[in-house]
Amino acid sequence: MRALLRKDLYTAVISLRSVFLIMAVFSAVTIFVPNTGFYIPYLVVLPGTLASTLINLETREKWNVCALTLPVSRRTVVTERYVCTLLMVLCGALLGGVCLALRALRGFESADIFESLAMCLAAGLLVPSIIVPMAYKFGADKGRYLVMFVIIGVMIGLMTITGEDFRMSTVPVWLSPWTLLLLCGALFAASWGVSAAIYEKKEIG
Amino acid sequence: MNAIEIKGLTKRYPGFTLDHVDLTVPGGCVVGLIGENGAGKTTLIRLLLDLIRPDSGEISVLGRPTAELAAVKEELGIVLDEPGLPAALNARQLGKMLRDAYRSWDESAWEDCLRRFSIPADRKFAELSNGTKMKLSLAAALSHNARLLILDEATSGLDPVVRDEVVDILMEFTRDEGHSILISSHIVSDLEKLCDYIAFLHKGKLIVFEEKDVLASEYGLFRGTAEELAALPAEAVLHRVETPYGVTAAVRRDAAAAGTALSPVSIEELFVMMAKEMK
Repeated sequence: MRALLRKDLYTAVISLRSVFLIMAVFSAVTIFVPNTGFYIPYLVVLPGTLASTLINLETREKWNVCALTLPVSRRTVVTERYVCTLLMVLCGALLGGVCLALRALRGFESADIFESLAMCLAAGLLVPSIIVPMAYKFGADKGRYLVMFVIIGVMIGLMTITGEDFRMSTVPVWLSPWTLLLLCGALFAASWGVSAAIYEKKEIG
Repeated sequence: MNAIEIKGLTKRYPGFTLDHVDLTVPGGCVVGLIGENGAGKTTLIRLLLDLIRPDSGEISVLGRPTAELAAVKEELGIVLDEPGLPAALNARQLGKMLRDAYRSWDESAWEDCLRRFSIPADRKFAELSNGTKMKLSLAAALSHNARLLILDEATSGLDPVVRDEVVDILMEFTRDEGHSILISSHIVSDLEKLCDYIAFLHKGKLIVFEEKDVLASEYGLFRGTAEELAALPAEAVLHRVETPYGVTAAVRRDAAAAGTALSPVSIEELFVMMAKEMK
């Protein structure tokens, strides 16, 4: 597991510099410009989407085959992917938290910082929970398109059920940011189980 | 103990079947897997490594079924036909990663391999030539005290000088009686130097699995006229190549008439003739 994490750390630092640059720019903008709080969720969601980018990269480089020649099981390979994703999302949340706190200090933020952060973290966990099993099952590219279809489908479904005037106010009261975070955390854990089961059966190479 | 045991291994794809292969790599031996492109060598190796799953048959590696392969991977040195190491990492970073992966990682062996193979420590894997990528992969396989090497086309892409050096290193590896190698290659001359046994795969079927020396003593090379060859029993002749200057054929020594002049046949000549015979 440590070897795989080290490899992902090196790969992320070397190959995903542009993503970190975007995050740095977003952070700076949210801290210094009012009415830019909508960038903060990106700081948490973006690291979550890197899981599928890494899976795509590994498949292209054939590292997915090579990794299984190391003394690790398939389950460990999948677990590492989730641990790495969780760490990246938490780093994004930490960065988002700092930005939110600084915005609050500058008087840009009126909402509860912790609730906002919980919502961001929930979104950060939700995205890889859907993307990663899809990427393992169908490949990273196909998986991404399928996720888009799923999201569009859910949005159409919600609008059909609640009518055209769908607003956050129509969301049930019990669905607080904390409940949402718990639900997404549980979904993330379930997604890990599903991915492990998919990868266990998958033919590699 | 046998390093690898394969019984009745079958894997079906549309248009290709690896068909009931039985193969053993005895402990302390080197088995060379030869065959044309698409004969099933890589499929066989991927089945061994549990990367793909068989339709039927049994595999055991170092005494463990493939379902328990993770338990013995520490003792396997593996080089695949496409090395697949992370493209962004250089040899130094790869060494650190592999040190975390293997309990028995031998840093001095790794450094020694990098020096012997002239692998630059600071260049990204993606920037290396194909030959150097393969050498790096070999260095990784040889640096954690493996008991069994599984090498899929590990010498392809290497220049003759480096190939010769790799063959020497592999021969050095097999000096330890507990060490075994399964190596697939198109370059039969390398296998000829290295192997105790030769396994010949053709269109998914294992045609020959025999000790190299037995193969060399069983067959001889006939050179003469078409009339002289016709005088030999048909079952003795494996394959014939006719040219304006005469006929060359691989001939079974035991079936040929006593006194027939046969010169020694190389494994490469035998392999080519067997492959042509089966077309």
